[in-house]
Amino acid sequence: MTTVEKAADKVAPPQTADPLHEQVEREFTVKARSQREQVFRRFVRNKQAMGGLILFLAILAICWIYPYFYQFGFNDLDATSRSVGPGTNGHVLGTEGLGRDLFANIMRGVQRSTLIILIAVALSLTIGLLVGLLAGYYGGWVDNVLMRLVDLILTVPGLVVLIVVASNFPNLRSATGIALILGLFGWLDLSRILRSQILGLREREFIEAAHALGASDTRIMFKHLVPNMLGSIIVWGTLAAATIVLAEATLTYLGFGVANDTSLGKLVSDGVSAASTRPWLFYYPGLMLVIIALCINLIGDGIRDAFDPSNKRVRA
Amino acid sequence: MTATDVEREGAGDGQRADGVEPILVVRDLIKHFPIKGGGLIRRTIGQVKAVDGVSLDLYPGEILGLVGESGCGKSTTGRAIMHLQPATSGSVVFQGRELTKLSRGKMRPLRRDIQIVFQDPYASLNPRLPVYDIVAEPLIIHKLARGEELRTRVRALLELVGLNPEHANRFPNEFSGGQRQRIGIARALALEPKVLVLDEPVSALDVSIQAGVINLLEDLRERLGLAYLFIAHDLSVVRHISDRIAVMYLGWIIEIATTDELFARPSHPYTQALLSAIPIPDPRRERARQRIIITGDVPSPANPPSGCRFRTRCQKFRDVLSESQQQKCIDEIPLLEDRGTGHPAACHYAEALKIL
Amino acid sequence: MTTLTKPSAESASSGSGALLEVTDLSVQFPTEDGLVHAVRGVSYSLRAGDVLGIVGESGSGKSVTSLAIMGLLPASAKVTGSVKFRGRELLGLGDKEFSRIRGKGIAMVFQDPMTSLDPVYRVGYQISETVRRHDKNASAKAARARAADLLELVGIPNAKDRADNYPHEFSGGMRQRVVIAIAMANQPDVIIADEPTTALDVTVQAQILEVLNTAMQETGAATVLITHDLGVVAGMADRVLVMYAGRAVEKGPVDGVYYTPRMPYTLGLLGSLPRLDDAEKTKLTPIKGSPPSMVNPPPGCPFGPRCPLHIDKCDEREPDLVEVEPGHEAACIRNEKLEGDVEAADFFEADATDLTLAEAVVADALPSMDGASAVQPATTPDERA
Repeated sequence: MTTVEKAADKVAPPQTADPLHEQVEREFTVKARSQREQVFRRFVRNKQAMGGLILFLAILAICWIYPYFYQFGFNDLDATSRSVGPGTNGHVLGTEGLGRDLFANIMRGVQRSTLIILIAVALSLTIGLLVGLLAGYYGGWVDNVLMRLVDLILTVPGLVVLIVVASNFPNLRSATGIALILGLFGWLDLSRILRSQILGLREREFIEAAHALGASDTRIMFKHLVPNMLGSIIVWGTLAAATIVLAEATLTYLGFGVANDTSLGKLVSDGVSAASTRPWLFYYPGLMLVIIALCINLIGDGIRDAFDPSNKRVRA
Repeated sequence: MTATDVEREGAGDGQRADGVEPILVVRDLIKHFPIKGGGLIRRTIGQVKAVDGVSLDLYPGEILGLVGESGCGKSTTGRAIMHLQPATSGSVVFQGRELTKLSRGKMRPLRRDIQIVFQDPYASLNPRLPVYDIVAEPLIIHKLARGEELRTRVRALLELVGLNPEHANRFPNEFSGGQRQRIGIARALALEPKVLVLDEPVSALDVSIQAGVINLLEDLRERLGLAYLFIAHDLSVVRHISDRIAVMYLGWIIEIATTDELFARPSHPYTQALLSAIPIPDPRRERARQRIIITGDVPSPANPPSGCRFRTRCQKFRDVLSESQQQKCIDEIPLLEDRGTGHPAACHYAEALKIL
Repeated sequence: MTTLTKPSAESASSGSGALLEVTDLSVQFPTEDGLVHAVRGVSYSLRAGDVLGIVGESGSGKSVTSLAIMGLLPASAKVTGSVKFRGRELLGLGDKEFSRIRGKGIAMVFQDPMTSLDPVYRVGYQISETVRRHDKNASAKAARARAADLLELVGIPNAKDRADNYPHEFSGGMRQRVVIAIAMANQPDVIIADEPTTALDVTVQAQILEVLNTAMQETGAATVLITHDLGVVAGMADRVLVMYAGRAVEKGPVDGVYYTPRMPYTLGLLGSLPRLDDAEKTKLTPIKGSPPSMVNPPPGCPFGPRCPLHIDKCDEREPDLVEVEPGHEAACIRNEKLEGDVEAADFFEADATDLTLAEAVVADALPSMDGASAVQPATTPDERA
């Protein structure tokens, strides 16, 4: 037994719970809620955020299970119903020129879009986290080099960068390929946000304490810094998701995005020319795009507010 | 030019004559912080001389108090000794090994034997980790325990500091300030160090809670045979817990003695003023007290006075010394040595007075 | 000394009236967790020249009390009770009315000088401005001269020149002197000093307390000194009021309360202090546990769970302040146990664990647990003072 254990034995014998003390506890104390609980509660109370979340989850659910209750697949060509309006022949939202069902295509588009979001956000998160951590934690020339690199890339308008890359790699014009491109360039603001947070966090005493214990840099970065930046990361994640959805749509609309599959952007882009004659082909995909972006934004706002309510603490 | 040159003879400052070697030997420790000017290329235009030549010894099992007011450099001294801040120059020998030049990798195993407890119970614990993780971390870093054994040891540590191990899965913000400080102490003890540096460990706590933590620290010293470097500004607390006390002013140690000696025969004018300024919760004594009032505020450590740093506020300089004596204070740095008062004091005209 | 028109108020010592009469003051704040009862029925009265020390730890409500008196609480705070200054009710006054009393009738000195000092104006200007605000007949020149006089009085060297400095050009101690000068500027009847020296080094604290003494003598003002430092109160106050959980639990002359406390909290508090003048290293007696939650405080004495004298009767209702000696009141139904020459160590344990007495009592009641002490409940995080 270690000295500590021997000493501890003399101090306090083993303890057990019992109902009597529970009563004492209940009467005389108010348990402070853990931070996670508090954040959760605040989010749940936020009506817009909850609304956005529920709607988003509903759409997601439908887009993956729709084949089980809807008769048309997204690639099925219904020769009998080409370019028909919503409600005709069982096509809830109508069809396009080749008889493909719009609802099914929109759902497929949502699927692709969410896939793109996931891959792109994961990629951006990884790169942004690493760059931010290295720059913020080590400072000095590492920080200088990395941040100047970020600045450099940022001087070029994002869309231009994306277009240039997309046009140079035509074989990347699938959903995953676009996700890759978006992910490779979507980390810049995250790295800055995290870096500045780290500059503050790194002076905090619990980081000093970790140094005093002999913790390695990696340990400090991932066990101490990252958990304290989760708020920023999550918020960034939701807002990045919204941005990526719209970015993909823009790219595709401009002709540089997804080519061989469906995506919301593609639907909108294809539907533009028909906007006056067959409005459903344009407005419905567009509406879905807007709804998704809106939901994601509401969720992101809600998370941000939940992490940082205005301070009304009492000082005695 | 440094100011300390501790004399070995005489037991006045508590230096041991029984042959026991000190576990921590600090000599001429200096820590300067550069002041950078503005402009494109930030040049160093000055230095904040936070610690300007500190020497002390810490013996196994003893409590050495390091007191001083704000700006005296005591916290910086603690961090420099722990190698949390690299020292500008000087030597810190711990268990026979020189710490100041060590790389992080080489320092890591030594950290098992010297640990630190911080001042702010709210900031020194990671708010996102449950208490179990916080206390277990040192053991995990140094690969000292795993699984069941780790759990047992964490439980034992929490019990040792007077907390309920059932609460190990809670987060720091669910505990009171005093309890959090105990968690910090448990963390520091996990590696079973020989020396604990305590940086204002009770200053941020309510008075009635301070007493509990002070008692705990005393208990732990008894049980575990630890040595403490107890850094604080509250002399009442330091008196209570320390065996020896070193008083700091503006980056120097200006007096060092056993606790009893320091309070019975304070020899440096600053110590005397400090003792006379501290209020005592005893109305009759307070009303009867003669205060020594020193003027002005602490000079900037970036630009300390020449010669004796305390001379700009010193009551002796102002009221008692002749012009030629004052000149000595302006020109010559007083070394920390025994001038007949029984223990070292850094004053050319050190004189023991009865203050309390 | 330059002359300005004297304040036309009648002399404070005329009649038997108290200058400041606080009766049953209560303050509640709405928070996320519910309504916090920060102050629950505090009463005291001040006559001219009185020095009242209000002591308490964090969460006791001592600062909120004085902020309520000065009308400085946020609008969401609910303040009830009565605060009469020279017979005039202050609670419920509009901000405009209050501003007239603030600075002239009642002056405040805060812990942080930058709360009272405006960083963009010179200090001389700030003093003369407050003079002129309360005395419409004062000329700019006279006000400036008074400012310089005051700065000299509070011990700022080269007062005339330094009146043209900005607050950031002074050190912490000097700034606090300036704040005291402003407080003195209009010969207030009452000075409320809220932790005036807490943020200062102890040698500077000694200086500032001297200055405060000077201010008190010069203005003849009654003073309320709020602090957690029992030593400061011992030296400065005539009477002391001990606050716990939003209420006064002991009131009386400072000698009486310090030497013969009759409320266990006071006794425990005094016993937990390490003494500078104590050559004997006696064990300290901490008070275990934490102050109770101020949201829905339970019935009964709030100090109960931590009190060594606790009996079941204590949980029935909150004890009122009862007179134990002439002028000395304590809120404890068992206060007679503390009569005579008692020490904290007689009642409080000098050990190091953080188990409150409640758990120890519970553990005793369950003989089947061999030597097992009860589990310690979660306690509320301290409010930082």
